[in-house]
Amino acid sequence: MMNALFPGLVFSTPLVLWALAVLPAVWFLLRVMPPRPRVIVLPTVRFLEGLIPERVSPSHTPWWILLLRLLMLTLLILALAGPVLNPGSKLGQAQGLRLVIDNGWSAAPLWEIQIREAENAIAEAERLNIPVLLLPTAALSAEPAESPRLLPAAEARAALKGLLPRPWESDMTALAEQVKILPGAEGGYKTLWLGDGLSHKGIQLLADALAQGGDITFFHPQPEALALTLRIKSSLKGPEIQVQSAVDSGAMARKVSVQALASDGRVLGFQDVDVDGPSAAPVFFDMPEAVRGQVVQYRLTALPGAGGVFLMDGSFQRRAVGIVAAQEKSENAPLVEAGYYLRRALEPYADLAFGSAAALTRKDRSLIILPDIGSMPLEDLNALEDWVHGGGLLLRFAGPSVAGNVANMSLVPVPLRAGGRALEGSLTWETPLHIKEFSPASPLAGLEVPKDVLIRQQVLADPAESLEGKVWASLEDGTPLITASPYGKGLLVMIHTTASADWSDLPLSGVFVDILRRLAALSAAPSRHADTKSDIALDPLTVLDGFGAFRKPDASVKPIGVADMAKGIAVDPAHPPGIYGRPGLQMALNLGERAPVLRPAPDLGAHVLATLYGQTFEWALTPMLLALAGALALLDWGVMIGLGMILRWQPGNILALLAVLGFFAFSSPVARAAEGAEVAASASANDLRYAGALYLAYVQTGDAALDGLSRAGLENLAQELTSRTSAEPAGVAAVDIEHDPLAFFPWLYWPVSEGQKPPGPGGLQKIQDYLDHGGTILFDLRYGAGQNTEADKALQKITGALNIPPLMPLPAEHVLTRTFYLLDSFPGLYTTGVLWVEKGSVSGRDGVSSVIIGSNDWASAWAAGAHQGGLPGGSRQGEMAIRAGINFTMYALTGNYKTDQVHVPYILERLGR
Amino acid sequence: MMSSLTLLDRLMGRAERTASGLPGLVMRAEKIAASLMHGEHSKRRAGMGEKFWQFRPYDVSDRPQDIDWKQSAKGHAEGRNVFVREKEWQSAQKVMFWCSASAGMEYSSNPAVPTKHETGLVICLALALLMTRAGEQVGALGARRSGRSSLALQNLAESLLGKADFGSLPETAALPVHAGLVMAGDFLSPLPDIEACFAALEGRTHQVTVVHILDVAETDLPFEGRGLFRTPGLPGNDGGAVPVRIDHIGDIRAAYQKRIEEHRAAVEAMARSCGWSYVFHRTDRDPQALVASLWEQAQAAGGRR
Repeated sequence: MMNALFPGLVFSTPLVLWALAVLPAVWFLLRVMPPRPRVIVLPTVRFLEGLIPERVSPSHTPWWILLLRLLMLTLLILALAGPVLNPGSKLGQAQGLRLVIDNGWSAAPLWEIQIREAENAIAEAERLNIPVLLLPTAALSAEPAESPRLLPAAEARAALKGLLPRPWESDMTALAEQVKILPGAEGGYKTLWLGDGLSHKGIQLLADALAQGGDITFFHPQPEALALTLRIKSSLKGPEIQVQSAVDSGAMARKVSVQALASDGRVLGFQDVDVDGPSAAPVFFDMPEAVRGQVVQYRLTALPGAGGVFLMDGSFQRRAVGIVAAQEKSENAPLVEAGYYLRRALEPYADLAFGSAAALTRKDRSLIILPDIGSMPLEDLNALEDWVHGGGLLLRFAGPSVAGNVANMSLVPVPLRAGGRALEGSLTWETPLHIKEFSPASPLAGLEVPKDVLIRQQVLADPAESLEGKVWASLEDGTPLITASPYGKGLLVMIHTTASADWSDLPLSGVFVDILRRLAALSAAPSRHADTKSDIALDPLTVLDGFGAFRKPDASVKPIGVADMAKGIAVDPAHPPGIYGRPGLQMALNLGERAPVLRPAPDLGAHVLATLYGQTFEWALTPMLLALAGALALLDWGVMIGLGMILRWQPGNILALLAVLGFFAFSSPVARAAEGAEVAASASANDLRYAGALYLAYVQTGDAALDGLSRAGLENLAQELTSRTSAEPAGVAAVDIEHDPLAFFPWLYWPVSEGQKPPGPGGLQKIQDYLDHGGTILFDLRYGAGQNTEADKALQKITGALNIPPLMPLPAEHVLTRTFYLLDSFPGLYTTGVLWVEKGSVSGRDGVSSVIIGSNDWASAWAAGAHQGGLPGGSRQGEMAIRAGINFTMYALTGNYKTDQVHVPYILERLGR
Repeated sequence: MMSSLTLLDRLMGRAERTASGLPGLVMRAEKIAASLMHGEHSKRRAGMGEKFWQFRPYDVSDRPQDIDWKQSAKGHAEGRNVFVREKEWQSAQKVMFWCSASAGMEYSSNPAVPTKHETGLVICLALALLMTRAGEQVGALGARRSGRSSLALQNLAESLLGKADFGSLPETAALPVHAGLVMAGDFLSPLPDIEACFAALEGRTHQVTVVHILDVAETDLPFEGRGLFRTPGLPGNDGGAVPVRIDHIGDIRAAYQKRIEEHRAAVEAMARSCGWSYVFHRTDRDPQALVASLWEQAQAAGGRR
């Protein structure tokens, strides 16, 4: 029902408005109920006793509280009456509502708009009390869906909540058939079609079928909200990105961005694409090969939907390369090892594994490299042979051991002549040769022939055999350098020189890397997988939902045969887009590749009224009014609580009150997020502080007195450092060993207390990291000389799980004794404790011992101060303790700098004084 | 264990507050004093003192060691003989200070206005400063030491601030006989108590200044509506005064103001009848003017002496 005062304002239950009649009664009641007296503190209360006011009636409620409460009540009554602003009148006199919702993958970008429109329509149906028929155009799942039925509006709303865009194409032919037999076919129904703006299979059929039942309003989005598809083709320049749109937007090109994401969600690349029509210009990501290898998906940003996600499968991924070698790294002399050159060349482009041939064939490598291996165990040979026969690529390098074993050599592309050929040496007349060419028919075609690469020694192919078509590269005199021949489904390739720099310069040149890359790329030709066993089924590993997010596949998702996948199976409810595969072989089913070419929705005929989304919106005012009434109730409550405060009118109190109200009024997640941000900010602020200057740090033991002592001691020490040395600590930091980052502190003072809890596994890991990366910890057992089993046990508990090198008592000439002062002892509160340091100097730590263990209780001595006395040895002992502390700090800061100083006389001598 | 710990904490807190409040108070007192110290406030008479007053020809009654030989040598040319250096006469009197520290003294109706206790302290300290500069000895009532150095001033300030258990009226026995006394307080005790106290003091000294300090809310009662009035401080700590509920504060304001004014007038009358000086101060006013007038009175009294 409309009213004349506010056109467009309608109450759904106008009877409630009669409750407004009770407002005057409420006003009277509220007026005579006085507020609680406020408490006034006054020293002269004695003088008030016995003073009686003339008026006997209690004082009135202030008028503004009265107004507040009445307003609150009015709002509540209005809210209960259910006002609706600007109600849509889309339904007119229809007997029922048919709601057709496009829920294919292309609806994802405008899903919220669709749902809002649908909710509005259902709300109106509820007011008019007419039934609703929900008709999603895409199949909800692989199982045959039950036939749609008429629902009351409330149930329809619940059903709508369960509706989500599907990651496949809408197919409207079946729906068109259904519509003909569903209620509403005979007329009297209003049809709202919430379309996604694209043409789908059978769209015209559906429109015709719906037209039988009454008026159709077809909603379509603005061109900016239309779905796009992303497809990627591999090309020589790398993955080529194509973004396709349904409409030719002409001069107004749509700008979208494509992100390249790693498996852990990191954004590896970001590229803007101008989409101006069905065939957009290809775009390339300019990123290094090593980074490109990590990309697992490309994704259109800010445009949800399965069509905008392109998953990368094996055909784009890094190759798995195996190198037959005893171990991955040689400790002694890497530069003479073939494995070193291969690893350096391939590491950025391939996943490398080292091991025996048999082990590597089991590890599902696509390329196996044999660097100069003449003979191998029969078991290895058989495994390798089977593997190559099944489609592997074997790359062999020559070398002394190959040259000596050519007689019974198998798995080589061409027969070899024994002995090899040396082109340089005291007994040869030949000179080292350059590479002449890469055969144009070979996969190495087009590589630049290096001018500076000399081959000094090689293994020769037996010229008796025909080398026709087997030579990929040859030397200046025509002898083959790289040969290849197919073997079963696989390929054998041989490079007739070493993979180390012994026989040639080739491994030192860039072309070596190029050759290996070409071969690695060659090793994963998809044909190898496709026609091995064509009946292999690939199980769904992870699939996309309608919005393009990953989810676990459920039982309705069916495996796909390898052959079907290669042939181009369509994306359908049983096969949503995603990664399908089995161990060793993964293939991506991408919607963008398989979806039909996008076209805009056609003109559906004269009986269909096309309109844009969001033209009319009705606005239910109830939630807003309720919220307002609630806010007023809070305000009223706050006023009751803080009446005294308000009347005294102190800004601080008002602010506190507002803060309380604000806390309740705003949703707590915001507050929590802010809190989190605050904590993070404070943590990073601390880090920033510690990173910006030198801080002395002590480990908190949990014993307040001991911690206080440590702080006082280090503060004194810091002061002394500042006044005596150029190390000027900015302050003292207390470190929680479990939680605080340690990396900022050159050394940590750790007083060992008997009661201290040993750090947890996380804490130990952090301490170990700290020690391994150059940190130094001074453990202070604090008992002087002799034995204290309790303290020793506590120290053992802390350090037991740490990897600390063997220790020794401080030798007399240790650098610690001369980093700043020349010292022969390190007294603290006690003078007799033994100081333990790491045995020998560790390379990489600049000779600084990672732990120093002593028992002289330095913190107490530092805290007592150098000049105050209070130590058994008087102020001299205090001074020596400070000197010891300065030496510790200088030791941690400068390392073995002072040991180098012993060479100064010799250096001066050499400089000629 | 717990309770003693919290008590200790509170005491420490109070001591810290006291210590941190002291420099501020002293500074304010210094400011007031500086504005009043125009030049020398000496007795302008020859006498016992440190400062030079005048040269005078030697007389037989003078001690030989008082002869200023330099001046005598200069004056010889003018025909005079021997000069004596005369020093200024400076009198020293002991003035004791007392500032009430009852719970009610910590009251202030508005954060912008200092509490009565603070005001009393500032007035006492300013006066003490002025007096030490004029050579008087000052000390806190009940404190053992008095003096005229800046240390004495410091001691005075500390004992005035630090003592928490001062009652609302001074302990009369602590006053040295014939010493001056400056009493600052709100004097809200029942009139008989005040009368007894004043009577006891009258026997000991004539030089008493009563500084009566009240908050503006105490004199005017500027509240409206309903209110439950309670005395400041912990319940039961202040004579067990019961809270008083007033429904229409506006109605009783006039009656209250009359009562308070009568009380004040009674205190003043008592002070005057003893021959003491009395000043009234409201905390929202500037203490400087008050100190100035007090100083004038003291000067005048000193001049008479």
